[in-house]
Amino acid sequence: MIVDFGYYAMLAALVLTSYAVFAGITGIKRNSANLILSARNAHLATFGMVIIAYLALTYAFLTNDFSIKFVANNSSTDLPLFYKITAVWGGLDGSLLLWQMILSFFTAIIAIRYQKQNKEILPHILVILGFSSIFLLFLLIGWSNPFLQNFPTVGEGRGLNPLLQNPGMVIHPPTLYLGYVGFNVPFAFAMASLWAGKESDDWILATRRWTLVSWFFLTTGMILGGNWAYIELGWGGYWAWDPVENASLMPWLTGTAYLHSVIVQEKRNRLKLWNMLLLIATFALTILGTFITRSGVLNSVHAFSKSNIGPAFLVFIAIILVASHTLVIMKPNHFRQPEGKAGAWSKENGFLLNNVFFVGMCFTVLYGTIFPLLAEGLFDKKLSIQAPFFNSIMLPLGIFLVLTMGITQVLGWKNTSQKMLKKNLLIPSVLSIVVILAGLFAFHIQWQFAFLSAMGLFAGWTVSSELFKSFSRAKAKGEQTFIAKIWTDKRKRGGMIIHLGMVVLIIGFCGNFYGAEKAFTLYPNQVEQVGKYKIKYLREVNYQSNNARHVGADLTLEANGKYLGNIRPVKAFYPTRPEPMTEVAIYRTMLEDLYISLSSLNEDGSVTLNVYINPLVNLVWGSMGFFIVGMFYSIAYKPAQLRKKKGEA
Amino acid sequence: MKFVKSPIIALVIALFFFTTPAIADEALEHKVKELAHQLRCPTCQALSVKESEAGLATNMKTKIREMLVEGKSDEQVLQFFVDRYGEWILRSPPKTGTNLLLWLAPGVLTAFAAFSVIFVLKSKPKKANKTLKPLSDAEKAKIDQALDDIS
Amino acid sequence: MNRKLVISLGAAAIIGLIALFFYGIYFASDPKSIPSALIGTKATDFTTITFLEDRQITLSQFKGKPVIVNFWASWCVACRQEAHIIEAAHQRWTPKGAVFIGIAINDERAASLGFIAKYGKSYLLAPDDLTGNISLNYGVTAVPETFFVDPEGIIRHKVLGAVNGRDIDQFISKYIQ
Repeated sequence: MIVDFGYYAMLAALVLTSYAVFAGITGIKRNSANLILSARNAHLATFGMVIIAYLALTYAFLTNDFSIKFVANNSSTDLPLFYKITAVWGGLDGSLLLWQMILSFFTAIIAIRYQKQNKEILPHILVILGFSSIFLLFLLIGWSNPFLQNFPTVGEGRGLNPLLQNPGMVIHPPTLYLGYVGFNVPFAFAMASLWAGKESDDWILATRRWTLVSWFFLTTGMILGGNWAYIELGWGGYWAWDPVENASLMPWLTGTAYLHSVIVQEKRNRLKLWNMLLLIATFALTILGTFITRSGVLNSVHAFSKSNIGPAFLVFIAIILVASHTLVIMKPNHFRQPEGKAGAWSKENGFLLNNVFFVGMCFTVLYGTIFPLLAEGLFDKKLSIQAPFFNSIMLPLGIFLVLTMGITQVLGWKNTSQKMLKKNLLIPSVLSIVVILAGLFAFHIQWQFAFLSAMGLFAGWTVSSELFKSFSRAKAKGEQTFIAKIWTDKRKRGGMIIHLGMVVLIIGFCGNFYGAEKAFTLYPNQVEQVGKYKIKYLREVNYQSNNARHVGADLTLEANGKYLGNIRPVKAFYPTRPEPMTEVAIYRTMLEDLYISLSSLNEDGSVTLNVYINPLVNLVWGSMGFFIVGMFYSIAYKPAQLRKKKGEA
Repeated sequence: MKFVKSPIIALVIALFFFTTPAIADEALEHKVKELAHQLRCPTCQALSVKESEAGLATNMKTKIREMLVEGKSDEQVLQFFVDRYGEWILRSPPKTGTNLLLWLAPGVLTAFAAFSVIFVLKSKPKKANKTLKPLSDAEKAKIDQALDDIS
Repeated sequence: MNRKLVISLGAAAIIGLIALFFYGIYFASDPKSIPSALIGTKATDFTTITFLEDRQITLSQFKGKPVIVNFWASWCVACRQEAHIIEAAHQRWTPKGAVFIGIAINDERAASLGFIAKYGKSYLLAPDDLTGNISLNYGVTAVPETFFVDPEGIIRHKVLGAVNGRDIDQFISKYIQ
């Protein structure tokens, strides 16, 4: 019963959005305030309908309504309550509904918030966002309806995929969706501004926070995804260059490039066309990501729910690209730039160069991901393109990117004097050259490692000294209170802190170069030494926890004669799944993780373990802290142009 | 300033202290892993043979070890699998023939873009660039329209 | 000029990408299937000892007869589906001179025997060697997988997943009336 409720709410939402788009376009054409207002209200009503649909689905999960196919496939009676709520996005259909809810939510915020500011382009923005809504709702009703009935009805569901029963997996998809959908907003503003024929760049200022926050969610979403893979997949790493991971990396790369180059437009009124193209690419890539994940066109671990929505997505991507491109072609006057050139050593040029590397990296990822398809189509051969390829191309590009990042910190707008360059870059340059030489010739490490860590050091130095300068300036200015000293120069500090987070992340990546791994079999009370750790197998353990039976090994850890604790790598048997899941045991310290996954429990009473030492991996997760703090600084800042406007009004 | 930099320096030093692999693996096992890492597991296709625990991957690791003990070279070992599974089994395609299209394009394009950006930036601005373009008819009409609106 | 170049490059990229994905959806092969590099090559010879008769068999001793080599395991689900199909084909064709061989890979001997008994399999069933050399030599990617070897000892065809009775009939009837 409640189910029909949800389905009809989605249907009503589709009708309402279609009306909103139609009324919006007509209203814009006829310049009718009534129609435009009506369109806006229809968008708000859509949001209400989508909430009802979402709640109905959640209700179905909570009440174990297995007459719904989606619920039966992704839940079971014994599933813990928490996972019943989150299982809504445990499969394609429900996650599309979540996506739609976020989109409707954002649309509603915009409809309410921008009635005074950006009034001229608000109807256009809502029409563009409405198109995305129509597409998603169309998918939800026609192709992947989460309310589809199950025939014949079953008494028990198949259970949520155990891989998804993990806190990381619970927040990872919504976070990523917030980032994906978030980039829809600056895209809609930009397109609306072009469509309405507005010559000014107001939309950049209006969407600054949207862009920053979306970037933040995209970044943390990816890191959380990596953390999930690290804990759940049990192969010791967090990034495998899988097509789905690549799909989330691509919009991140163009989005990050945009985040930089848009500052050039804001401050120096340049790169207008380029920014527009980056924004189109970023938005299109977020949709492309879903297409790759769900269409089954490319081989991927995540293509768990192959479905027939591929063609629909392809059509949508085509519409986005063709329409936005046409708009860009039709409105050439928007892209005129002021004459005159910046000096060679200017921030503008630093950003330009970083954009080259970001886009180059994005191209590499896209090209490598789709090349198997290209090779089959053109040369009729099947290829695999996995981590070794991506590492060998992306690492050198990444090294250049980090170098650019380090240099750009000390560059000023328009130009930088040789004296300043020398003053700021001399020490870190010497230091990083020393690190490279020492690494290559004294320690004989891999060249990628030597260069990446040296560049990380270089950038870390320039970023932190800029941050330090900002703090000492606040002191010199005579800021009295502690709060005033901390909470000032927010834009710059926000940027620096986020860059510091990037440096931390990069140093964390460096850990991949010198980890160690070992596989061995132990009998009870036998000890094996791995690095400084002594691992002793005590006995087999067997216990019930939540909805699964766990069988595994009880191990004692010792290092340098000191007892560290007991850990238990196990296999979890879920009653609803035929194959057991591997649950790793991790002993974490600041500098390294001891990561143990249970390979097998053997009949003769022994256990086979895979043991990894993963250095610096915690820095990768820790970088999120920098991103959060930096984000707050950045969004607290209000651009000068906006402040002035408020004053006038 | 010191309070910012010293942790970074300490970190870098720490990096180098840990560089020597913590486990002195046997050379043979190391080689087996290195080769297994280059092969894609046919059963669980997202993983390499090294990472996979599927029966087939285990057999493949044993086979690699066997062949290395027999004195086969790395190339011979990889070729053994390519002969049976095709190029598909290699996780990064060999740098030959049409695969060069894959290997070269990203680097060449990025380098080209970077150099042209640098080249344009370094070149002196030409005087000719400074001349402004005349207004188009559409723009003229727009100005007229705007003037009309005002008056 | 520059702008035009950028726009036309963009348009070309868009068209190319969409065409490629269109091809991917409608024409390309399943990304999970792996083409065999062995079609048209000589089948590697192997020797093994059968489960039931305890008899040593060698592939080359069947020269002149079409041979179906099926790789299976007791833990594999699709193998249960095809168990009857292969057995039926064996009953039909072996008297006329075809040969059916089933190689169990990565399997416990007891489990294999249980599977054979449960599904009443009676053709030449034997285990792979300890390190799986037979399956590796045939480039087996997953079970079940079936190779069609002609009387000359050349691999003509490979089927991944449960095999189809009609495919077997079609292949063998080329060589046996």
